[in-house]
Amino acid sequence: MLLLFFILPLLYMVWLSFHDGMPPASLTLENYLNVVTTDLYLRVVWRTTVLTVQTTALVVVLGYTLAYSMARFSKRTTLLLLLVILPFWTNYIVRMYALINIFSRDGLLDWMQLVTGLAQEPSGIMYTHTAVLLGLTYVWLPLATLPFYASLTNMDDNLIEAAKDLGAGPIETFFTVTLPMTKNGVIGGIILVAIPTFGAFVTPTLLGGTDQLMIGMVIENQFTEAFNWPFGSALSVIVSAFVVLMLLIAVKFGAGDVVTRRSDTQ
Amino acid sequence: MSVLQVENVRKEYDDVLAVEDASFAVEDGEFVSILGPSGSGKSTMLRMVAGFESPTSGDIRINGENVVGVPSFERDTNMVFQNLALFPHLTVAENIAFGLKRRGVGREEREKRIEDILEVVELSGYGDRDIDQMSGGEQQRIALARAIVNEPSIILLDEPLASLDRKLRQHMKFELQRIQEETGITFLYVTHDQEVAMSISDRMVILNEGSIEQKGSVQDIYDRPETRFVAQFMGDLNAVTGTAVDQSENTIEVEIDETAVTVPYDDTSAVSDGDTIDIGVRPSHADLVPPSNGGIMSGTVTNHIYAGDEMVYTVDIGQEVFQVETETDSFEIGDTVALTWDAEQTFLFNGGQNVSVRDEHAVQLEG
Repeated sequence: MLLLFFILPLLYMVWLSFHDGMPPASLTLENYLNVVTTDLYLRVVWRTTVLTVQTTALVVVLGYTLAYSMARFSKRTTLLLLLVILPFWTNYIVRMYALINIFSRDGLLDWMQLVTGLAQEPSGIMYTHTAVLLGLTYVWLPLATLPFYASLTNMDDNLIEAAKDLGAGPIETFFTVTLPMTKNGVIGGIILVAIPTFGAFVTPTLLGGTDQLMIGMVIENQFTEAFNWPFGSALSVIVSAFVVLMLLIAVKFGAGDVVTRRSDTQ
Repeated sequence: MSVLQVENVRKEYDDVLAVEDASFAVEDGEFVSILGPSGSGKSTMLRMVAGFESPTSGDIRINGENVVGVPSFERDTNMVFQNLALFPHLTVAENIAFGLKRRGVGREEREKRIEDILEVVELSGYGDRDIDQMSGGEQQRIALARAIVNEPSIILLDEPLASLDRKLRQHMKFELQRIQEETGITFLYVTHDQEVAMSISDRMVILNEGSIEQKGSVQDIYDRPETRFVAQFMGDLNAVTGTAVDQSENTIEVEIDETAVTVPYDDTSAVSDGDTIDIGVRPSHADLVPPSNGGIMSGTVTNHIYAGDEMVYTVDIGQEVFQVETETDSFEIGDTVALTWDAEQTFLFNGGQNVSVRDEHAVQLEG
């Protein structure tokens, strides 16, 4: 099963990426050279990287804050958790069209900016870097909030009291105890967000269009429109390499147990 | 000046009264236990001293200064938690250093103090170990070291021995006592285990349903319990119920199921004829004799077990069963026996209050 559905397609993809056409064709490195020598593709890889870093950072800050307030201050945790998960049960495309409505000229965002006086003219933010960033953040926020929340509730509250008892103020307690104790949840959340963001193509297509090309969009284009499967495969191999790199970094940072799903606390 | 003064402290949660008008004091270098059953408010009491809870009313003074409203991280107290709450992401030495770092103690001084305290708790050389490499008893000592190293005015201990097995608890009990004596730091120890509290404390505060039942030296509380609750909580107690029928100068006659029992008693104002009286007798103060030898009451042996060098008999005396610890082993189940007890060692309870306590003996510990 593993061989048939996971390893074989992957091997076929790698094999394909070293050909100059659909097999039987001659072997070549041209597809990879093409990526690193073409300005457009380098810019796409760079933009994808920047968006991935920004999205991940935004999701971590927002998601952790959300999870922290749910875990520490709220009495209606079940209801809040439900609200966090609810978007997952809503069709992805429907959510994207909702965002388009908000981001468009004269959309909800414009209206709010006009009402609060933040902007004088309706402009909309569709097809901008910001739109893609906000869209990706919105999509992945619930996904990262859950591991954050799980690691926070797994933590023994007495540890926080112990830190305070030993003279640490609230901020010091957070950085010396809470954050290190939930490190695995944070790394898990980062992996959950960074990997799909790097390969994202639906969100950037709908919110960014051709102005905000991401690597996933180019891959999709190569397979469905340009029919240059070997080149698409080469790009896919690059994405896969990024994923493997992320996982290796995560393991290096002592999160081997995230991958093997060990509990967060002792 | 007392290290800790708790004055008329009251704590309410919504509509539950957790602590009611509690007052007591702890002197410098003392080992004081707050003893009570679960739900008696003893942990709440400790958490209010630590600063994790605020009293609804009343004052808590540490070295004379009212600390109500002062957050825990600014209080001169350190707590040893029931589950220890050691930081699993830090080593043994880093755990102990945590408080010192927060207080801005320099690196050199810190290392010296950690080394010293590791020696006191007999864990020298274990500083670089991870917490989960240490055994249960070792973790207890690390938790204690983490609190003591800061040299606070008072160490608060929330039943840290409760999770240990009996043998280790016995050992840690004496360790606690040794460490407390060696460091001279004031200990306030919360527990439901009267045996532990009695063997290590200088003084005890007995808490029941949020109120202080009694406070005083261990000896005092054991020998002169002020209430039936304290007498029963401090050790096994047989209580037989009867009616006061007659009083003379130093005795009172109590009628129990048509048997008249005379008990020494010298406070004529505390009991009126007709009051319902409980006579309390500890099993170790009672004895069994053959019925032909008289005795105070008669009954039937329903059970007997060996408990080391003595026998524990269960005797059915009609209204209740009566436990007797004695060296005699000559009675069998079903035998009719006569019960006797040391009249000077009996307690007399009228409405739960011990009226056999003589005032001059009731040494009180005022807050």
